[in-house]
Amino acid sequence: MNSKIIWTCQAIAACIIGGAGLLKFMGNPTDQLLFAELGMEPFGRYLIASLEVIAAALLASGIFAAPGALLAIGTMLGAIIAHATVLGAEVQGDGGLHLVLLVTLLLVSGPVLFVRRRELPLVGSTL
Amino acid sequence: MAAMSIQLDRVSRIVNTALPSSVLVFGALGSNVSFYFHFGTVTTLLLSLLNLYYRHGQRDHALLRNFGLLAQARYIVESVGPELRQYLFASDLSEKPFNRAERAEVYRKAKGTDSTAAFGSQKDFDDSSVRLLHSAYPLDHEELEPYELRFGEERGCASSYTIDKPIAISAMSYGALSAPAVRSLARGAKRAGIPMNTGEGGYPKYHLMEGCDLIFQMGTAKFGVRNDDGSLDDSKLAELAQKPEVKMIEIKFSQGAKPGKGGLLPKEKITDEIAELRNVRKGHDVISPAHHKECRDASSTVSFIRRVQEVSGLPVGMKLCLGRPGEFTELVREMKRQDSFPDYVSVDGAEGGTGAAPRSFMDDVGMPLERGLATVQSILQDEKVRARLKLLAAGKLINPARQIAAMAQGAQAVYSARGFLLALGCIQALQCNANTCPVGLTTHDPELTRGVDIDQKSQRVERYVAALMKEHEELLASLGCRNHAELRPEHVWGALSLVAPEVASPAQIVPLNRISQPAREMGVRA
Ligand SMILES: Cc1cc2nc3c(=O)[nH]c(=O)nc-3n(C[C@H](O)[C@H](O)[C@H](O)COP(=O)(O)O)c2cc1C
Repeated sequence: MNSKIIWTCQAIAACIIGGAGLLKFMGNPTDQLLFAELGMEPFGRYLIASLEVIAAALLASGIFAAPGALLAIGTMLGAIIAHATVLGAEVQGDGGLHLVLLVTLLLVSGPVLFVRRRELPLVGSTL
Repeated sequence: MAAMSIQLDRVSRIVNTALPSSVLVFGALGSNVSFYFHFGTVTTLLLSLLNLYYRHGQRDHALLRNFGLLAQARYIVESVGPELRQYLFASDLSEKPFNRAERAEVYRKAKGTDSTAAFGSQKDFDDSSVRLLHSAYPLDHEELEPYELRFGEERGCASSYTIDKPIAISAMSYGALSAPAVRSLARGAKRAGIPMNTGEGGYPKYHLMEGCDLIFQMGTAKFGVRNDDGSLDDSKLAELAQKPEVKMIEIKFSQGAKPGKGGLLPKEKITDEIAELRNVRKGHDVISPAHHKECRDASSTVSFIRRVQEVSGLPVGMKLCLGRPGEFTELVREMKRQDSFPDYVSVDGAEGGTGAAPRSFMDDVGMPLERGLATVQSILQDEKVRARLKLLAAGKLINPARQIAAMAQGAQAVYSARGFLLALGCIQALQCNANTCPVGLTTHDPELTRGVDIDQKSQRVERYVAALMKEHEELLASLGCRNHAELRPEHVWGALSLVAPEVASPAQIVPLNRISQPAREMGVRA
């Protein structure tokens, strides 16, 4: 039961973050614009895209879902900082959709990380 | 190791303040110089949160609570340890006094995660260590009988004391131990249903807080019950003995780690409170006299024991590390002459632990437990007074097999001090004498004792005892004994050979015919 919920969370998280990563790789114009605004275009975009795709793969793998969730949360924190300091809440008049996805991602990866915290490498045994 | 942990103390303080500050630094750089710096912001933020949790959230790991993230390195090394050590560091069995394998067993028992091991023993089977000999006809669990031992029954003591587990927490004073360590042990003893020895630290203020059964220890300085000249104050002792928690009195004559020398508490560890409880001055090492003022020979010693019995009205034991066997024989004969025996004798092995002792005493004085215990047992038997008192033993008896082996050689219950420290999370940093114990057990530094969560730790004590008892039962069944009283030296391979004839005076040499038939057939040396 519990594990079904967690798997659902993982799946949602993997979809959101994997999708976002792929879009960035493919050079989605909005992303190009955003990363230009951050002064990270194009290298930073590819870097973040790789991290996102890796996170999605880890989340989907099951056994590495815990580090995957941590990585997802890490990149999302970065994104939130970007929105808070540079980009603002609304991106290209999307009505805050970007931000909603970010928050959703945090809301689903949080429980995954919490439930699976003991599976984290190195620190897991103390949590 | 010592140097490393002291470093850990300082470095961790730096890390604990540097980490949150670096979040701000990275944040500023990220916003003003390059967004790439926010990789640092996010990483340090997550690490700070983890550190916060270690320092103020969790209560399971005293080391993490005291030092935070940096101490995590220790757990990481531990978790990848077997692989690393194989190539780089000490082996699992090369640490002293307790090797990693032995400590790990206690940790697992205390955390309730004791499980089976696989593939084979880590022990060096070529050495002469004790091994138990099982029976061809092991018993079923239902055939086992409950354990019971009544102190004071031999002389019809009105307030005799009965224990129902053959294990007790050995003497460790408040002073050597921190207040939360004492309280964790005391609460654990209460939960586990075993008695705890107060150690020679004077009035057992913290021991009494948890309501466990106590054995009040009277050291040579008689802290808590002394006159100004160091002699016994009968009225103080009588008053203390009135406390319902105090079940027995133990007169400490000597301790395995420093036989022939009084207790020692380094000045670093003397706080205002400890100075008051012991009635000593701060700023000086407190060194107890080497002997009780009242005891100068066998006859005065026996009278003194009787006096303590009379004044306290409780069972009274003596704790000693065996020195010259002839002197002990003489003491026993004097007991016979005066028809007056202590209610128990606790034999401490030279391998015993201590909060502080000169190295030469720790390493080179006194008889090790196996020999000391077997010698005391055979002297008592030869003098035909074995039934007049109980016999206890201590000295690295931290696992069930060693405990059973000691009981097979005559002990009726065992004491452990360091086993219980390990259960509380001792990492064997070997700094009990320096007030810097990294896990807060043998220090009075509030920065370090904050890591000790009394409730958590007392649960570890309870679990440790429960796991020990379970294995006692399994071992008894496999040896074919219905109870501990049926244990005999022949259940231990190599037993009795330990009483080498040259250490005992002629009267105490164990006659060859005492060596059991099976043992002799196995080629055991006499
Ligand atoms: C920190 C510490 C403090 C101790 N304090 C006392 C004490 O006050 N009085 C005493 O008789 N023995 C003291 N001991 C010795 C123990 O009671 C025990 O006899 C000895 O350590 C053997 O048991 P073990 O090998 O299980 O530790 C102390 C031992 C330790 C480790």
